[in-house]
Amino acid sequence: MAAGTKVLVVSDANRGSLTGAGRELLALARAMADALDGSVAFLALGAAAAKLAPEAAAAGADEIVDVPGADRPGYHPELFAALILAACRELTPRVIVFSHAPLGLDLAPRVAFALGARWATNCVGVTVEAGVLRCQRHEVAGKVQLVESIDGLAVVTLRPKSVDVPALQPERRAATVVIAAPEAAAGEGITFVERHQDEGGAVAELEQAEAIVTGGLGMGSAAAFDKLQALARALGASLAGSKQAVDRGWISADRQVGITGTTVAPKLYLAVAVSGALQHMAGCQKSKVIVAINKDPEAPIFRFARYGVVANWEEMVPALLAQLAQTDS
Amino acid sequence: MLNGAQGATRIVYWHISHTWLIYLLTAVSLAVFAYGLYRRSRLWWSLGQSTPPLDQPWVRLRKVWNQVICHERFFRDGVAGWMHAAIMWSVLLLLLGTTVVMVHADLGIPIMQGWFYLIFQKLALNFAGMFLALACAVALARRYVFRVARVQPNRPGVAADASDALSLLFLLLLVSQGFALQAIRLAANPDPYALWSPFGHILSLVIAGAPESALVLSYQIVWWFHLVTALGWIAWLPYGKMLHVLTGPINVYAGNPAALPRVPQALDFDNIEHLGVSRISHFTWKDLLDLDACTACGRCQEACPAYAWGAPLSPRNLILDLRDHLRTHGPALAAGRVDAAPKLVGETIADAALWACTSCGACVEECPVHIEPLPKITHMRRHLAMEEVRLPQTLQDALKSLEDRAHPYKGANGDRTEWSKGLDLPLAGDTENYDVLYWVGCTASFDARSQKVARSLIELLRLANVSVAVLGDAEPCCGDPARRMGHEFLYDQLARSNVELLQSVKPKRIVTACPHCLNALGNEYRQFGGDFDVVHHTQLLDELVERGELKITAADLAKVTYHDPCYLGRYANQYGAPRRLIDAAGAPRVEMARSRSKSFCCGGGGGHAWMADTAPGRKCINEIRAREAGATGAATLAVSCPFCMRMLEDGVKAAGDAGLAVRDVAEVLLESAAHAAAQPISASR
Amino acid sequence: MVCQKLAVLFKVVPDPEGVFKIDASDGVPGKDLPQIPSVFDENAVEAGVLIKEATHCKVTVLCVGQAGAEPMLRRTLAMGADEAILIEADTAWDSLGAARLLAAALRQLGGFDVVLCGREAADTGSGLVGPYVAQALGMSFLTLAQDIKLVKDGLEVKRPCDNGHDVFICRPPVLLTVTAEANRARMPSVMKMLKVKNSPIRRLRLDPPPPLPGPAKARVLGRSTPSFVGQCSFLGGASVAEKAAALAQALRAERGI
Repeated sequence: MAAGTKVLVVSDANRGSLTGAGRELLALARAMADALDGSVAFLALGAAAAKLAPEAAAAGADEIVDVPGADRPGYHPELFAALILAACRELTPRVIVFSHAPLGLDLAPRVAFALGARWATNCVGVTVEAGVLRCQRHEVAGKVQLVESIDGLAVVTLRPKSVDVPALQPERRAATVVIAAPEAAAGEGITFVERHQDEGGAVAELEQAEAIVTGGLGMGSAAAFDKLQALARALGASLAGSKQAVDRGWISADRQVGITGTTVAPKLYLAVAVSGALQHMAGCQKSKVIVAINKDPEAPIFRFARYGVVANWEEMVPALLAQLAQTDS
Repeated sequence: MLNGAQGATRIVYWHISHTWLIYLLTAVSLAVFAYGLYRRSRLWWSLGQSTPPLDQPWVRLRKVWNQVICHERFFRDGVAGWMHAAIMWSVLLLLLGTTVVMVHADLGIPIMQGWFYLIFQKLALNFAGMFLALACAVALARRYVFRVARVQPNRPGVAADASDALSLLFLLLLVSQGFALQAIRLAANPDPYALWSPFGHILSLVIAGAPESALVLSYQIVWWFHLVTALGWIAWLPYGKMLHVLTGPINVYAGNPAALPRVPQALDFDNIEHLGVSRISHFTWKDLLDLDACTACGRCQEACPAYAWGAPLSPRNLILDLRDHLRTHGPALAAGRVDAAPKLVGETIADAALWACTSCGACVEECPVHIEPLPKITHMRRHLAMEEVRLPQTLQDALKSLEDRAHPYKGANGDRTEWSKGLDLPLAGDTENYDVLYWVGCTASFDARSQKVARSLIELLRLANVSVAVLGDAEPCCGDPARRMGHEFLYDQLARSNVELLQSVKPKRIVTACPHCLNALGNEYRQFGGDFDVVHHTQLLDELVERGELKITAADLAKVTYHDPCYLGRYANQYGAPRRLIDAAGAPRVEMARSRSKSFCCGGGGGHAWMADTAPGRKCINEIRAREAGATGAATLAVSCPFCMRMLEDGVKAAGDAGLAVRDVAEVLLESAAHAAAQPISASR
Repeated sequence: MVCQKLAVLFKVVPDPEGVFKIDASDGVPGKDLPQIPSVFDENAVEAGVLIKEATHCKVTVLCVGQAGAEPMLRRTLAMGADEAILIEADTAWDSLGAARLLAAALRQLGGFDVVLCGREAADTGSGLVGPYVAQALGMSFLTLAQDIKLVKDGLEVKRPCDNGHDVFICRPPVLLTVTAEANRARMPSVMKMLKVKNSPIRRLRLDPPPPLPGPAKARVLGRSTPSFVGQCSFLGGASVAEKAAALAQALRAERGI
């Protein structure tokens, strides 16, 4: 266990603060660093290092990396890759972790290739055994699971909502490491033009929601989702939809939960008329409690749910609303 | 009065001279008539593709006898049936009467005399004339006074056909002229046998007092008027709706001799210039003849489930649109001006009309002159699916899934043996020790509701000691969805490889619970060299019950109404077995108004199980049928097809009918079989 | 944009909708499942054909796989690709192995303005091949292209970002990985399928690539297929009202309301 073994976390900070994904990365990096007897360095992209420093420290970072240009808004692949590589030259980390999200998916390969590292993507967990990384990965939407071991320099992307996030420790402090700006990135193959952020922030809302009510193919129409909205409100939950519902235009695309949508892990996940196909479950499996309402007792969702009700949603939702209203009055 | 028929005859050409004019006018009329026929029919020959020669002449003639003379399909509509029968038989009789006069007068063979004259020429023809007049009046009243929906023209932007009214008015005029002539003749020439022509006689009493000269003059006027009208009618015949008197019977003769719907034509993909029908000339001459046989009676439209729920398809209008396309552009196309016409598929016939069809076959079943709209739709779909690739996205997904994983249920995420876990069914490839091969079908393999039916069937067969094998994961789709959607290429591949597979397995008998699979394996695979003994599960169970091998004790079951699936009923002519099973189970049975060959489709065929048919404010086909079932007061709607099961369960839900359960006949039977099996002989409970 | 040569990287995978079992002898998953095109690669072929329709470039489809992939490669020809090349090798479940072979093939064939591939393979889901190939060839690349439009200088590409999308201009030579949102892969007409029925699928022989540089080593320790057997507690009695009452109680407990 080499002293000073570093785990570098690269996090998308475009929201201006530490996201849930960032905290997960730090939690994972913390665990790895502890096992490797090393430390955690944190590099934020899209926000000033100083702004995130206190939060990152409280979430487990030992060093905050400050490299000029990292706070540039938008996504600049070749520039950001060069910044990360400059940080790596300085810090010589053993593991670099990204979130398995648009930013990480694009930067991780650039960093891995340049460093000659081995790369494990779409990981749901990483443990360390005798100095060797053991990355738990999913293939075929989770139908196949594997462990890939990496001995040496590793780049890892972590699926959101895979790792439990411990409480913040506000008293922790982290040192700032200033990295000199790298030489100008050569080549102008990819030029960032502009960023369009969706109004409403549905994705962030779903990621942070404590309760989510999701409607699936069995809902049948957009009007049905209005009824579901009432139930969501009664439970203090956010409304989401499966890919089937989104494809049919019953709910907006930024409210899609699933393997190609948003991954969520609320305390309560109520799936109404959702069949429970793996592509959807990959997006919500980590919820604390899954409750399912489905008219088909053999629906796959019941294999994942803690509580299940076999009923037609058209009857159950109004009845449920009536029951919930009873206590309130 | 009845002093023998001695000397009974009547004068021909009473005060009519210049009779040579008759022959001249007749020649002119016949020339115009012949030209009209030529103009119509040459398009069939010059544009239409050829077919194999018409075989089985006696079967065809018998069909003509049943349909044309005995009016079999006409009488499905009681009033219209008798009305049209009266018109047709009366006209035939009256024509025969005119022929008798011609033979008697022009050929000099004195047949119009004696008892024959009295009974046929006077009495029968008088009644024929009166029935003709009444029937024409009824027809006009139905169309213009009561506005019977079925016969109203409803093509937007297309003017009503004048020959609808003209045909009837012409006949009324001819009948009136005939009675007038007879009345005048009788008034001027006292006839001891006048009462043998009662209506003419009554009329003659009205004008009895008129002076002879007036009678003669009016007779001459009316006679020549009648001649011109009659010859005009003949000349006009091929130019309007009346053409059907010729094209109808010929169409019945030239049509499909079999009782079951025609299997769609297979394509030779090694030697093909075009796929499906995209031009009027891609149809066969028989298809084109179909178009000219139509009288717009609307029976097909009335029976069409797509039309019933408001989809943009009317089989009648499809035929009429094709007919008008043929008549308008046919001559130019026949002369070689290939681009003279608008696009047949897309412009003349809208895509939406073609995709609305559920392939139920009701239109083919109803048509009194045996026009076949359904194969035309199938062939035009082939053009859309295989050449233009213009088809609904959900159908494309289903076809891609068929290509990728040999079943059309994209997203099913399972395997074909899930339903049979724990049943220990042997694989037909591993053993020959089994009685029947159960062809499960894609729906029963992947749809949770249908999987239950499959398990129920296995339970029943085991109770009857029938050993069953399956193909397991190796079972592919029968291909029916591909063929119905118009992707004949994919169907061809599937069918050929399935025939090979089944020939290598060599099952003694195949049983299937899906009528679509039944139709494919048992009927359509013959085109690809496959000749298998395939039976529907209701038929097999019926045999077992009848032989006592499956013990059933009638149980006290709720009232059942049975829905005939299109592909078991109209396509396979099987109506009895499912009903016998329900009766054996002890369930009181009630029929829906539209049952057996008139069964109303569940809405799932023709690829519609993969289409999300909805429209705000309209009831879909399955809801219409579910309501029909509910209206019988039954508590159980029995089905025998997995598509019907899915569609009608949804239909019952849409109708909000909480008291109606949809179950397969096998499930209904199992209740009684289990009941029977549970009768304890030993007291081991 | 001027584009003369375009390549599409194409993978054939065991049907992701199937039931996966691990083969006892070699630990390979899904050996008994039908082989189908990886769905995102079909989007890549479609994107390539769309670019071809605008620029009249030549589209080459490259696949590392077995002979069973031929019918699927012919289908890409029917969709509009000009040429399909099969590199016969068994790199199933080995993303890096496939990436190295594809990079060598592209280097040998040379001169591609645009290379397209799916964002990830429908089986391994690693997303490694596209970026690796691009960097091995010194091409710029961008992942997760959800919209590709031709503009004067190159391709205007939209890719998702946290809570929205970013717009980029990508100048050739460039590699893009394509998402399912980018397009709907066309169904080829049967006329075209018949035309390519006997088209040859070229085989490319490549020398096996040298061992990877660098000290780091990665290997797969083992694969498993999870079984999803749940412990679901079914609530409620016979009637809807009873079920609703039980469910309301459970939900209230969970939500602390």
